[in-house]
This record gives sequence, structure tokens and C-alpha cells, in this order.
Amino acid sequence: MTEQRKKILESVKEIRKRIPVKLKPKVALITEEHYTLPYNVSVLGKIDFADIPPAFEKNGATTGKLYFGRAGNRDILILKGRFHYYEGVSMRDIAHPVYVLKYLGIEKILAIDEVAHLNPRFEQGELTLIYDHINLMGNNPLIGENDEELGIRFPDMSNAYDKKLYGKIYKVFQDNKVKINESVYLGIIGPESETEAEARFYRDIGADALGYSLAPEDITAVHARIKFAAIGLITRELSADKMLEDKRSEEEKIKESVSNRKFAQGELNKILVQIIKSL
Amino acid sequence: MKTQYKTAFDYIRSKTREKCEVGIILGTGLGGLVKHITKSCSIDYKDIPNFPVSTVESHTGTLIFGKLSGRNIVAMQGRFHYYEGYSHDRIVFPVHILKLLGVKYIIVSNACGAINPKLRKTDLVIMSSHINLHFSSPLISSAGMNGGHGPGGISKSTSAKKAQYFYDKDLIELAEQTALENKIDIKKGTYASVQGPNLETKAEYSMLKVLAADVVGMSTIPEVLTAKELGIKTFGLSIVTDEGFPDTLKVAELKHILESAAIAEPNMVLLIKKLVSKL
Repeated sequence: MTEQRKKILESVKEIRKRIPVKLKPKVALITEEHYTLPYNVSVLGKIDFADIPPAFEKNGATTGKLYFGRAGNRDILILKGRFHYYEGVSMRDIAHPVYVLKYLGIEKILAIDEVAHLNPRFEQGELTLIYDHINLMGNNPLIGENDEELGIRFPDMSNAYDKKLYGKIYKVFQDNKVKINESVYLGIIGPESETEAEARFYRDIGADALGYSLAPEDITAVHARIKFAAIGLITRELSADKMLEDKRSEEEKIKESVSNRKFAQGELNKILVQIIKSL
Repeated sequence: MKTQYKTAFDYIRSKTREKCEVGIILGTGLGGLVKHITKSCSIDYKDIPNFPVSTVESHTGTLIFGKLSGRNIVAMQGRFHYYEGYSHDRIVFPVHILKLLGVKYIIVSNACGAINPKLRKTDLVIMSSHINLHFSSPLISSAGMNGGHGPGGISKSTSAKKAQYFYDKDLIELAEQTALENKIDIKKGTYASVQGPNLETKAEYSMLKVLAADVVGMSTIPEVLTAKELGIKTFGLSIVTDEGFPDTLKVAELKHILESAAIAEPNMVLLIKKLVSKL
């Protein structure tokens, strides 16, 4: 057995010990640690990442938690907190929790990331549904030895964001009359913000929104044959033309992006349980 | 001479005293050329000290010495890829050995996906230029972070650094002439190399089109860069084995890729045989 799979099974064993027996989750949610869950998601138990050996604990950069819960009539697992490449976490360690979800019986993942919008038709504070990505992180979790038990050597990416899940989420947005922006997501490493020239470059290659988290999670999910859907909270605007005239201080920019995030999160939380139920 | 090259070279020399003028690197599914070589000696990679060993099923790892079209050649059946976890230094190890064996010309081949809509499966494409999207290069002198996947030490001062044409113009002309004489349909274009192993998303294929790539693959560029650095004249030939057109993208399967390679192989073999006789 590969070292990678040993680590995965070790984490799974620890989580299985603590998971409430009656829960049989098939759906998982991945969010940032600071994401506030909606009131109608009931949390039935949680484990600190630090208590899950081996790969969860060694990343001091993240102090997230794994939640067991129910959303409507659905059992769910929630990874509240994720590993970022810009924190110095390796791609294989970023992939680890996704494989662990697979071994816990998860078939579908909904990931929520904070994004900057490159498409001028989007607005800050809105939400975006992601249908495809471009990976410009200069690395990915599949480079290296391939464990055939986890997935095939050359995974096909033509349905990297599952079309059926996409359609179901889209319908929930429509039914609730919430505006949805459709995006090609660009994965870059960050953490520095983008230059004006980069903003033009990213728009020219066909990206609508960018972020630092989703690409490796999606590639891992495809490898592990988990259906993947993703929603972006639009926290800031990246318009090359407007950047030149932007007179805001760094503090103002951060403050604004936090308030955009909170607004977008509030909008999403109104329908999040409906979305989870629809998957 | 680096000792690791010398140990490998000495071992090969203990098996064969053959002088070689031409080196041929065979890509996925293109091993059929081997049948046309009058073999004098073949050595498994695993027996050569310090030589990397291929981990991909569709690549066997053998160094074959013999005659093709009356010329002394050495063929590499099986090559090394970045996605296998090798650093660029390891990927190009065999090219250094070819140089020591006296090779003056290298013919590289690969299987690729079409980006340019004029291209179709089983087309032969002469590599006239390339776009390196590996976020790494064999000309970076020391392995950096991530076990070689990342920026490292100080770049060497090399001929490749200053090179304008990695693909020898005379060889391209000769190949085009040879193709005409033998009624072989041939195209010419820019090869983009991505890291893999996951195939490209639709959005990534669209990006590659914007970047003006004609075909895309996961190999070859490291070998070409090193050949140039060592003053070896290089000719590159791609075989289109799948079509990366975003609007009609189908699930790519290794089986179909190998089928396309098999259809194109007779023409590739003919072209290489005729080209070698003219060198």
C-alpha cells in the first residue's frame, strides 16, 4: 500500500471512531474556516483538524474543524477550514482531506471559495456558480506516484464541475430569484493580489473569476470520482481599467472585501440548505 | 562530466561499442518504429546505473542500438514525464547520455491533443516552436522546493538560454521535402507542454487556443531544451491522438489515444526512416 493511502486510511479510522453512527453522509461541504453556517444546518458533532492524524494536524496554518450535521433531510460532512498552497502546504496535503471524504462514503462535494471577479458583468457581493476552471498554479496534486486504488493516471477533465449538480444548483438559484453569475474559475497560487497586467492576462485567457483554493480540490475530486460543484463568493473586483483609478488604501480594500464576503455569504445562506437538499 | 552520467555511460559502453549519430525518443504508442531497427544491442533502463525508470504502463524502458536506413542510431523506447514526479534534471538525464554516445541529431516524437481546429486525429505535426507551461525547466541549475517542482538556484549560462530556434530549421525543411516526395500529409505548428497528468478542462483548451498553441502534450520540451544546450540538432514530430476542441470535447480514453497513434504510425515510421537516411 502506498504511503499516501496509509495516511488517508489512518485519518478515516480516527474520524469513523467519532462519527455519530446514525449518520450516513453522501454530501460534503468545504468552506473557509471563518464561514458562518446558516442557522438551519444542525451540527451533531465536530472534530478539530488537529485531532485527526496524520496529515490534518501538521499544517499549523489551518486550525479548522470537521463537522457532522444535518441540512434539511440530508446528512452532511462539513470541512470548515481548508489548506492553501500559499500557506506552504504541499499539493498532496491539500488533496488529503478530499480522499478522506471519499473513503468516508462521500459522493458529492459542494465547495465554497472566495473569488475576485474578472468578468465586468459581475458585481461584488454577488455569487457565482463555477462550470469550469483553468489551473495556473504551476503544480497539482496528481504529480508523482499514482495510486490506482485512489484513481486513474490520466483523469479526464471534461466534466470537472459536474453538469447535473450544476443544473440542480442553478435551478435553486432561479426558483429563489437570486442572481447567479456563471464562471470559468482561474486557480492561481496567491497570496499577493494581482497586478493590472495580470488582470488583463487572466481575462484574455477566458477566466471570469479567480481564487486560490478550488483547483487542487477539484482535480483531486475528479481523480477520486467524486462529483464536484463550486460556488464563489465575489469579494472583490479585478478590472484592469478601474485598478489604475483605485484610490482606496489597503485597509479600506480589506474592509470592503470582508463586507462583500459577509453579504454574499448571507445571500447564499438563505438557500444553502435547499441547494444541499437538491444535490 | 558529472559522475552520474559517466557511470551510466561506462555501463552502456561495457555492453556496446556502437557509435551513434542519431538519437530517437519515442512517445506514447509510437514504439512501432523499433520493428524497423536492425538491432545490435538493447539495454533495459533499470540495468543502467543512475538511469531513471519509467512508471507509465504504455512506455517500456529500453535503450535500443542498431541501424535504421543504414545509419547508426540509438532509440529510447520509453521516456520520463514531469507528472510522474521526476524533476526536469531527471527527465533529461538520457539526453546527456545520448550526447556522450556521440549523437548529433535527436528526433523526438510524442502523442498530442489538437488545439488548432484545422488539425484532426492521426495528423502528423512538425514541431516548429513550443510553449513551456511546466513552470519549470531543466536549465534551472539546482532542484528547488517541492522536490524539484519549483523555482530553484541560479540559471546556467547556456546556448539554450540564448537560442531562438530550438527546432532546427534545416531539419524542418528536409522533413517537409521528404514528406512531399513520399506523399505524406504533414502539418506544422506550436507544441504546448502542460504538467498533467489530468487532461485539460475545456477552459484550459480555450486558453491554449488564445495562446496560439496548435497542439498540447505533457512531454518533449525538457528534452528539447537540453538537446539545444548540448548543441544537438533537434527535430520534433507530434502525432495528434485526440481533439481538444472545447465545444465538442469528448471523454478522452487512453485506449482511443493508442488507437489513433497506431493509425498514424506507418506514416511516422516512413517519414523518420526517410529523414534519417538524408541526415
